[in-house]
Amino acid sequence: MSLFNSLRISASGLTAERLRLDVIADNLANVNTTRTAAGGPYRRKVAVLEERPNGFADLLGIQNTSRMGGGVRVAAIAEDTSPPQRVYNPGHPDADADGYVLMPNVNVVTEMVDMITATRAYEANVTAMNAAKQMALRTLDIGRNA
Amino acid sequence: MDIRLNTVLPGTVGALTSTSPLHNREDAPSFAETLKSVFDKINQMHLDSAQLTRQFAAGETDDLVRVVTTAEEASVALQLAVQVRNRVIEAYQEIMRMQV
Amino acid sequence: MMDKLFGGHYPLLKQALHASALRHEAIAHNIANVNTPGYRRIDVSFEELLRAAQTTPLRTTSPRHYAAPPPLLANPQVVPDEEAPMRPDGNTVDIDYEMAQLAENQIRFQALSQLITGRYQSLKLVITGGGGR
Repeated sequence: MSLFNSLRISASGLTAERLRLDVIADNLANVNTTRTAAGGPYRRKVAVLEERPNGFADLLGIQNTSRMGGGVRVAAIAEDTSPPQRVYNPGHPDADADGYVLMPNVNVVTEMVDMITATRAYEANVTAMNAAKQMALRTLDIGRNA
Repeated sequence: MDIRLNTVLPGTVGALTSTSPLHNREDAPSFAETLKSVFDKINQMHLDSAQLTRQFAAGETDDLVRVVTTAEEASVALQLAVQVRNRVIEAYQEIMRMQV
Repeated sequence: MMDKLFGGHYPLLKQALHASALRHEAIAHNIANVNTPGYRRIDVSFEELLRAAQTTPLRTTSPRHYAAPPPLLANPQVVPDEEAPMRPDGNTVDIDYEMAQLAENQIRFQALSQLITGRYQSLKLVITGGGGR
């Protein structure tokens, strides 16, 4: 069961990092969006990750995995509550009376760094999944004449 | 590939393929004794391999090369021992079938 | 008779293989949670438990006995890693360390399964007597 559960854990990691990447892509695409349906500039979104509880193992009361969770999941996609940036741009259609435009609170450099982190984590999860698969297949070969 | 059986199991080749008739030499070890000493060596190889395997499983040694090569040597030696045993039994049965 | 067949260090090999599989699960869990804020990495304790469980060596009654400690068994346990350094977001997973552990554990698993296979094959060889001519 350990190895199959490992596959599920790595898969949860892949899903979570992919979702993070989607959120980051959304932020980057909207870095200059000043109009949204809710009014005001685009607000940066953040994918909040949390450890997924291993409900299955808790049900069965398995001793060894009592401290091991079931991987990771995205708890919520929250909005970054930091204030939007005030940029002086009097020629912009959405400029207020003083000539300031409220731009999204998205920092491109931060998003790029997050993107690299998420990509690296995604690749690491792929490696872990391949390792689990290889170990499981190797287990099947035990006893078979090599 | 030049495999010297004598280096793997010292004394084997001399004992098993000796050209001088053994019954002429008073001090020559009997066939049974030779066979026993060969099997003792093989048993010792297995004990060493078991010891190394145990150490590896317990995490006391990291020397994977030694663990694997010793295990394989013991396995080959065991196969040799089994074949030798089969041949010896065949020879014995053949001799017993001879009509005197 | 079955004790002789499956005794010796064979149970230890099996336990070590279990521990290796469990360790992979722990490493996969760490990797999946590398970006989770506040997550503490976990590990599997087996070799340490084994060392702690070992007592005095076996009494030898023949020069052919090797005076090694008895291959006592230990149950592999998932334990939290208390000593791992923490990042600002509270996460203690170092992705490079986990990848290295992953590779090492994978090789270890392969080695152990190969040793167990060798054991099964030796037993079968002796039982079938070389399988004929």
